Amino acid sequence: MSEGLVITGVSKSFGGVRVLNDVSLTVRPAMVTALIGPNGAGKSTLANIVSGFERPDRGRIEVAGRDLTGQRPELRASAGLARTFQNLEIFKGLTVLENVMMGAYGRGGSGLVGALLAPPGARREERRLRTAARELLERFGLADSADVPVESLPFGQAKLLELARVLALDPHVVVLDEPAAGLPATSARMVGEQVTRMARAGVAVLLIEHNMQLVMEVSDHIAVLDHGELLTVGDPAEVRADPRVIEAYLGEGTP
Amino acid sequence: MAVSRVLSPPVATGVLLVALPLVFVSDYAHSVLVQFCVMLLLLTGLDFINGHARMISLAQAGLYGLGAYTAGILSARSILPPVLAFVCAPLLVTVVALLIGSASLRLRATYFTMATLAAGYVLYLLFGRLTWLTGGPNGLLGIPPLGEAVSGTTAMYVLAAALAFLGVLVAHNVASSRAGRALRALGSSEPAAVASGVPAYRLRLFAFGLSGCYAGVAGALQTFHDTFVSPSSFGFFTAVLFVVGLTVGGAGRPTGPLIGAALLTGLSQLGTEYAGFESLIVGVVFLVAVQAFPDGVGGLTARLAPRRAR
Repeated sequence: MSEGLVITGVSKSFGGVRVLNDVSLTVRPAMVTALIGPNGAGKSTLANIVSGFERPDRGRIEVAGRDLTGQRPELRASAGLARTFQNLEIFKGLTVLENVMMGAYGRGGSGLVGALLAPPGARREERRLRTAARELLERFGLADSADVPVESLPFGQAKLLELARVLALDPHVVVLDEPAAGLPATSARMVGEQVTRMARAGVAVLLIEHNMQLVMEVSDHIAVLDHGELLTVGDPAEVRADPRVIEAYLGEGTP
Repeated sequence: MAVSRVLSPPVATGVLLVALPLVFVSDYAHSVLVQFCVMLLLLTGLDFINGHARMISLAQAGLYGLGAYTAGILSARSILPPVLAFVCAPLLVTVVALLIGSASLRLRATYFTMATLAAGYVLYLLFGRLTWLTGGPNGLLGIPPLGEAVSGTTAMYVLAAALAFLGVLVAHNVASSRAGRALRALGSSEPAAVASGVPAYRLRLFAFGLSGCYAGVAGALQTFHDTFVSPSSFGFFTAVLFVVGLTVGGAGRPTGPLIGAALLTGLSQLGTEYAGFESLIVGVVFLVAVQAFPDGVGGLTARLAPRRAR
């Protein structure tokens, strides 16, 4: 049985255009595997296939030893797969704390009858959720904002909040789609620290990111995707030295 | 925290429902208050969809009519005793709402609204056309009173107030539950909610069925209060009126349905005095309100005061 995230032979075409071609990649627990590549390389499509928002034409997705291919996205969350999105996807109208509590939805809890009657069990569960979410917020330095509407958070904190929400699921595997996009260096560094920390806690992290400094700092492995093909997988030093990677992505100007 | 607890919707509703009939004691006033309770149930139900899930349903008027006609037909034709007819109405409306929901809730925004408009309008047409069953455009006559104990306007008000309070209480439970939070999350970001494990369709269907149940109770109340039903109360204008009332009151805001119901009840009083100008009044009120309070009147407190005490 393999742990973490195992992507096997995934291919995907949109209207005759091949976006992913036979991509296989393993993301091990307690490791950060970065997925880099130029725009249009198929990174977000792969993230969508892993999380079930799109179906692969061929290939298999396994999380913590369970085959999730064809499974609906909400059931993948229950299996321990969490993700963030390229654009900020927060729950406006909910407080910061409630946003984090939402992240734990896939772990189960009181159902629809409980919603109508509010039995004591549901209230206890609610208190537990609240406490767990508050602890996460402390860890992300957001505890002071717990009860404010989430839309009042500055962008950088909102990006951090998404990471906290993902951890509320207590996930085996986390897919982060550009968690540092649009962030200034200091905020990007905080995101990096949290990514490292979640990996240290045993989570298998697939990190899609354009910020190369961040990628080099936090990644244990780097996979390079170009035109839907996996060019190479290796540790940061190897990938940085690979001439094909330099040509396809890093460019001549990048150190 | 203290302020928001004192002003929590069930408490505010309870106080109002007890105080109002003591201040306004006439039979006529109590009849208007029954109207208010019916509106409160309708808007509280509609708020699950229009407020929490942030999808605009125009089916509520048709479902309300279905509740009214179910209670009316079953009792007027002596198929069931009035009390059982009253109970059957919300059950049937819930089932029909689930059917309408299962056909429309997978559609996106505007298409969902159009589907609910169509469903509501089909119901409205049936009320007018199935003359052998509904009495047609002239309405359904011969509806008995609900029972010995509930004859008279004040007794009817007590029943209406109890049901409205129960409705607000259940809605408050839902809003503060895991499912209610997920419903609002879906309304804000469907991808992130689904990725967190929320079964979008199932939860929306639950909300839509619930809104139907509220409409069924409201319809049955209306029928046994008037002992008469006619199709004209359930048409397109009513459907729009509910959406406007809830929006102006504050869709998705804790006190939105309450304020909306008060507005609609007041408006229907104006409407009887200035018959024919109803839609003009509604239009003007709506235009002014959306400019002055973009989050509805119920959203005003949230904008003026700091949202929650730390």
